[in-house]
Amino acid sequence: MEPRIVITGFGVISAIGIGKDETLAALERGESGVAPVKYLETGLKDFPVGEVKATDLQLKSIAGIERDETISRTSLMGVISLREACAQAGLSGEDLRKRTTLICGTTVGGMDLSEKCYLEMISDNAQCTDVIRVHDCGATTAKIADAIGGVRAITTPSTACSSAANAMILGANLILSGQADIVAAGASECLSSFHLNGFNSLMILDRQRCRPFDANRQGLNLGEGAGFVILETLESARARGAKPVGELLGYGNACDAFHQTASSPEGEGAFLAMTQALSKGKTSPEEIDYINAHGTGTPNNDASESAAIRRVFGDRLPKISSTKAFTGHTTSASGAIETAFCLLAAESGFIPGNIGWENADANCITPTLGGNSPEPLRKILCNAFGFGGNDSSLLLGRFDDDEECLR
Amino acid sequence: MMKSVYVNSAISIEAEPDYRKYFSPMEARRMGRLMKMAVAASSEALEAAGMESTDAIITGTGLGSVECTENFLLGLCGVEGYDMKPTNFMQSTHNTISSLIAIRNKNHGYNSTYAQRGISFESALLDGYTRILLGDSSSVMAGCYEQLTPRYTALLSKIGKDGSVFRDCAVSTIISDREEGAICRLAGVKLLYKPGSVDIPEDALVLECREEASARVFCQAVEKIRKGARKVVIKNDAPGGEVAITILEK
Repeated sequence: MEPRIVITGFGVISAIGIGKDETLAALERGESGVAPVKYLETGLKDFPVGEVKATDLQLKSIAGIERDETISRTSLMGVISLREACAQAGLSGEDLRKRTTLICGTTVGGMDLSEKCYLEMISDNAQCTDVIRVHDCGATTAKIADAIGGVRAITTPSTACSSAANAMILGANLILSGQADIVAAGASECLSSFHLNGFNSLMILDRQRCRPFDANRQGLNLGEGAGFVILETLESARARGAKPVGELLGYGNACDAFHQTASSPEGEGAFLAMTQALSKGKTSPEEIDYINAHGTGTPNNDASESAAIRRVFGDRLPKISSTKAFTGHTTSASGAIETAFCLLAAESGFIPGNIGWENADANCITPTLGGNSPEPLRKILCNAFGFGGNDSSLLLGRFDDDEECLR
Repeated sequence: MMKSVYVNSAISIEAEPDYRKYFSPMEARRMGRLMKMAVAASSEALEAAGMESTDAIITGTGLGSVECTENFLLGLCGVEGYDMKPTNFMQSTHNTISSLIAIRNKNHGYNSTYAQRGISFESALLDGYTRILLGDSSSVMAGCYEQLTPRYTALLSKIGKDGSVFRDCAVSTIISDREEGAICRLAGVKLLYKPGSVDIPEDALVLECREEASARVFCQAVEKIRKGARKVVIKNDAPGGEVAITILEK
């Protein structure tokens, strides 16, 4: 029998709060963090964004990092959410250095710093050399590892908007194959002018707050943030005296193999990813209590994801919501931030709403506007889909200590 | 019971090949050099392994398409002659290589990408190795594609690294659970970060990565086994503190 992979801690930071308490409170109040640009230095002010409500200096202070250190906002948010996850899991510095593999997804990496001084960087003088060192994705993860006092191993998945989900999939597989004891898996992504202009060049940004699955949806809002989960076997958690707060029951990764920036009409990649996650978790569609959809708010994604969900669930759909109107699309980090939302939902019984949704679209599922669930939320699917058709789905469970629930 | 993992082919493209073998001139115009080299390496690796496709496509690339990233950045900075083209943005994301290979082959299998400086290749290899061990994939294409630009090379020389963190390469390897026709066994891939010391098996020929991309050294190691070596260990002591140990056995 395969060992159970439990989650012994998690951390989250996004436009709706720093840490789990602020996050749950905002989800319950239905309060969005999407607003006009305030912290990001950019000439592109036409679009609302989901910014973490703090300057880099304020984040450094929260993360316990010297004010003159050259470190990207991506790394800073990663450090803050990873610390929260490690504290809940009760991991000591020695646990981290000797037993923990850090898998942190990102796509933007240190672009927030590079874009501010790129012309100086490529000029003949020796300015901004520290920025060159922290520009790339791998350096972002290394910086996080150093800031928390070191870990056993690091790596960085970079599959655009499914990076966090793929970090968890690799982490779980490393544990199942006996190659890792404890894995801190998640992702971090900060807003950058590069990223914002990139999405603008694709013409998929909404000038208003995004409305996933709404007939009048116009596109997505970009957001930022980070999230981490601590994964280990139930046996490992028990041996350390750590209390599981959730379980990773299954996961799937498939490629839509359709187009670099568009999803197929029938949602083949999404369908395969969800089907694999259910199958790995020995779970039937009827057992799913809630789906946190990828639901970016673009006409294409939401229709394609709806088609895939209908193929998996038929006409008996569970409660579904996209939480992108709370946070904006946090791209690489979205799978980790939304995993945290799912774990908070399982803990509290509160399903976060698809806020702002008003008009039904025949091509889309009808999402829930949120509220307390009369039944406990035992099994939850969390979708994360990326450009290039990198589609992943995670099957999360409320931790149940009942031995009868052993698979 | 974990499965054994075999190396069925390992191909390094050293010079730009005649691309007409792989795609039409029309297709070629939409691809940067990095993408073209990646498609060529992956096609050659499949052919050498005698396979039509693999269950998984996994890429390691520390920087992805630097050329596209630079072009977009220059456009963002308002430099004349550059603009923020959607194709440059799209191809600046690292996963564009793995997904392009999947789109070309209509491959709906597992698909992922790693960007971890000098150990991007081993990260991809470790993911694939683990999937085969667990029986999640029967065959995996793991590749490493890196194409530095003169501009990025100049940046790296400013910090005294001479490009040693990111080195040009276009390598594809096919690993699988199929012993028949395999060149050798992949006996382990281990990643470490700033370890005090590293244990290396004593009975092995050790290849250390210094000036070369580790993915190319991997191809050399496979060749050494083909020529009679029994056990080869690749020790990649990357400049940023990452260490990767790869073990190949006859």
